[in-house]
Amino acid sequence: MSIVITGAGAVTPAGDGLEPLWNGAREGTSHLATIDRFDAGDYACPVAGQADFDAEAELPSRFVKRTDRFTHLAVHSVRRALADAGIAVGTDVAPERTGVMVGNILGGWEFAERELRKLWTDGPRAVSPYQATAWFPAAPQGNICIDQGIKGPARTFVADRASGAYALIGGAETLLRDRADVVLAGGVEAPLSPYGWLCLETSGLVAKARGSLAPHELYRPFDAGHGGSVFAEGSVFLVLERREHAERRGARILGELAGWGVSTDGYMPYYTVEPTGQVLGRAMRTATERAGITGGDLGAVFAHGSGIPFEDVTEGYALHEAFGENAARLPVTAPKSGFGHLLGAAAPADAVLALRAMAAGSVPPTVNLDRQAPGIDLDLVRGAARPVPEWEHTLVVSRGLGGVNACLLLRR
Amino acid sequence: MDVREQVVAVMRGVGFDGDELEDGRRLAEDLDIDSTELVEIVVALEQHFGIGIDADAEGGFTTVGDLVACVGRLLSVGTGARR
Repeated sequence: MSIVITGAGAVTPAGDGLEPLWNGAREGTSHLATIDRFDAGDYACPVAGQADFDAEAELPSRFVKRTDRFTHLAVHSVRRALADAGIAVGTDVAPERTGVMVGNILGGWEFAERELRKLWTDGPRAVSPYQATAWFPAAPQGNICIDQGIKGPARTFVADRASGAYALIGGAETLLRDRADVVLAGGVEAPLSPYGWLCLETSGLVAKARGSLAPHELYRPFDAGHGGSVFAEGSVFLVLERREHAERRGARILGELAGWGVSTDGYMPYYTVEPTGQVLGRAMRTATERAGITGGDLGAVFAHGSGIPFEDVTEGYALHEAFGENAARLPVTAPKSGFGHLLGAAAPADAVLALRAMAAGSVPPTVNLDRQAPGIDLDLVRGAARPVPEWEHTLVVSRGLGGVNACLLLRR
Repeated sequence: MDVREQVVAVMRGVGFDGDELEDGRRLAEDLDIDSTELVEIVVALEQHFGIGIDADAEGGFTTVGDLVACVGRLLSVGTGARR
């Protein structure tokens, strides 16, 4: 039994839809710029990927007022994903046989910060009664179900930057267990509020602004000048089905989620990662084995590429642990340095880009990779997209604080 | 503005269209207002009119007209209802 992808929706700093995201990645365009959503002048990283998404123009005003931006982004991208797949819940699939799996990290702080300010300045009755339901990380999941009339299994995964990969895996396993016929799986993040942004800074994940680098040059995965991630807001959702279900309804099949693997470092201190890459490597190898392939069958790797020096270096080690001598000749890329690390939506974004890249036979470049960091023995794609003929399989890597690792294997 | 016009103005501020707020419209069935949104509306009316509405004691509101009547009654009893 195989799990296929039959639709996708994306709202990212590149625009609304998969095409602008893919076009930007292929060209190596940067969508990162100085934050203008709030005054970020006192933050270590005043740069972000901001999505030009006007919720009031796309969604009913009463819905917008009771929900946070992360819910707006998620509900909109799910609508686009279903339309892309040609599915209307209740018509093409029973509500009880439709599932939702969401990856998110921070929750809805834009809404929460505004209401908490009212709590401390004007008292409890000044706070929106929607505060509790707008903020919590499962809010997008619930609102997606309400918006689409979905009544099947639904779950939100909070596993730092591996959350979105966990959501896709959760979707695939739900389908394999026959608990649903269609699953919307993806992730969302809206980190551009003063407190949300501070959380990312104090977690030690952000690239600190440096006078020598322009805003769009700050995120440098695997580069000798790497110093952390530049984060972004956005939402990416995929439509997953069992292949037989998709074929029966005549769906256009974009590719297959053919394998996955998870592991946990269990390594102290918790803010770092297991230093040899062996544990992350096991998740990589499990993903390929599940798909019935070996490292030699991989056409490319979409790396996590956080730009955090010890994460970049150990990701390289992990690829060598997993694939031995094949690791050094595998094309590896981290296109997210062009549109920003989407946190809960990062792995779903890489998954849809990998499908698009395999269809085009072209690996998008790692933006801002000028001089490879020492100690990283990988064939990194940089400068321009690289043609890869007969490319059938892509590994997508994601990992997060607490040592969570989740890898996806996509088949064309 | 009379009380009804003011109630409509407050509800527009909460996100409703003025056109949908006729007296006979039912809050739940016609306007899709759930208990949380009703709390938001009640608080907005309290702040606008300077009154205190005990929604439980009112026995629940069914229509837009019920809201208008309640506000009108609390205003007419004067300062006793003021917060």
